[in-house]
Amino acid sequence: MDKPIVGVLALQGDFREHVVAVKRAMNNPNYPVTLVKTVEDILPITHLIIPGGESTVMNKLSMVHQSEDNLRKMILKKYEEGMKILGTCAGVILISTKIEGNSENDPFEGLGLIDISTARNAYGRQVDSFEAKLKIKDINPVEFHGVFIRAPQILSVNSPDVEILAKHNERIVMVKNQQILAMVFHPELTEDYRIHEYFLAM
Amino acid sequence: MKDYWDYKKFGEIEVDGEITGTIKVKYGIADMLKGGVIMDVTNAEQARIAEKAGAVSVMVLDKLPYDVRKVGGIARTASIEKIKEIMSAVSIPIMAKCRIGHTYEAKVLQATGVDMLDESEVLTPADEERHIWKWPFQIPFVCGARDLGEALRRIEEGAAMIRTKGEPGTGNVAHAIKHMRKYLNSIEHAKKLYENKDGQQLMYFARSIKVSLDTLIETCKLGRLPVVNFSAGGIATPADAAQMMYMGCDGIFVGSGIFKADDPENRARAVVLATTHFNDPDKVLEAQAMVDEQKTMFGIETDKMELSMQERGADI
Repeated sequence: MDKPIVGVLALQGDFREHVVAVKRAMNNPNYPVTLVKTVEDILPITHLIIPGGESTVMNKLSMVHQSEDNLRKMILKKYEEGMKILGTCAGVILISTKIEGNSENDPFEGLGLIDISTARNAYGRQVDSFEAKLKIKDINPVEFHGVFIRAPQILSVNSPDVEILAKHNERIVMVKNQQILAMVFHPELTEDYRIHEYFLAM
Repeated sequence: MKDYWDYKKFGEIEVDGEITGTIKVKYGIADMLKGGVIMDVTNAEQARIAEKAGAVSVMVLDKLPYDVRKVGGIARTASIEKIKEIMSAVSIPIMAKCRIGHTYEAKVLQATGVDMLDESEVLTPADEERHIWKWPFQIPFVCGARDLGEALRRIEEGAAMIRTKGEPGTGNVAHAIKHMRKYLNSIEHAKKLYENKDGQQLMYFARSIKVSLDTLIETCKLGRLPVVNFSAGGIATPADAAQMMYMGCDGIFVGSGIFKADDPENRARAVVLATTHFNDPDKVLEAQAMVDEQKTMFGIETDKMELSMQERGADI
């Protein structure tokens, strides 16, 4: 298999942690990872990571230039061409088909790449942010340490193409389809790189 | 029973296999703010403008720093009603300022549900001898610092995020630049001692800046502050924001710079754009072209000020 050409959407959020995680997962401190800020940056990418951060901010910055080929449109195009996507936290919101509990002041639409309904900040405010042990299907045998920060929730899976990989206290926390791996917690904030390894092998 | 000396875990609460208030979630929310702009707001309308412009968070104050200077008197935390109103007006994280050393103001703010607290020199310090002991809180704190010692002292007290103090409310970025350069120079100096394995000199340096050797060693290993570091104090234009990002800050606080300008909507969007694309001069130019210098806050000459806010806070 060809080596993945990895990019991390670097408009805002904890993109540097993902860069470190990719290098560790590839077992190569010099493995190239592109910080994707422009349309040109994304062209060669085979594996795109959309990091944690504020989904409203990333969404806005991805379509600053509405008339031209903006980053948002390019992500859609590249996805159709087979690009794989890892979405964490805010990243899950951005790629989902339906966003509930959107900001009244500043609503936006997801990219609709994975057929799930999501809700922003569904676990509450920062005081409710938490850590918990997770059992993830396909990533065995040791539990994964989940870090949930003002986490969104995956309310429902709306297509048989989407598989649930993990639940925590009855709530869906990780899903995948053919091209996407999406989770509401932050594997990049731990020193466990199994999820990144799994994604890079997709 | 928790070990008394395990004080860094004093904010943790475990329910149903979920642990809240951990260091990871406190430091983690600061990580999520990186590359973003946090804007000072004094009402829900300003908060809505900030969110629409792409602010990553808003900081609720009773008065903007510029007005705090102008009005004088004792500056305290904002009204609870105002904080709640802003919390329901926008979906991005909310921060609020409490007075330096005022533990109960902080506890009250934590109970309102704000996402992060700023123990801030913009407000009148409540305790001249100590800062808040921040570890037992469930939510994170950001604190201002002028140099490496001050930054690491706040981190040792539990701050999850640092920002340059700059000189708030002035529209003059010179002090933020000075503070950032001081961190960088001191980290460079300490790193050399560390790499030369000069333990004695490194310990003396730690003592001279009143921090523990462990924290200083951690900083040397990382080559940067051990928590997220934003810039604050006097940022007024998109180019100011890009300058601070270029110097290595993780993000930007804009206080009076936006809502004391005559073009807040455009300026807010422009500062966000310049912060994200700081390393692309064409994009910063595009951002800078969105604002009109005639509409930038007039500002205050920092050498003629009566009140130097950056001096506030116990030097320990």
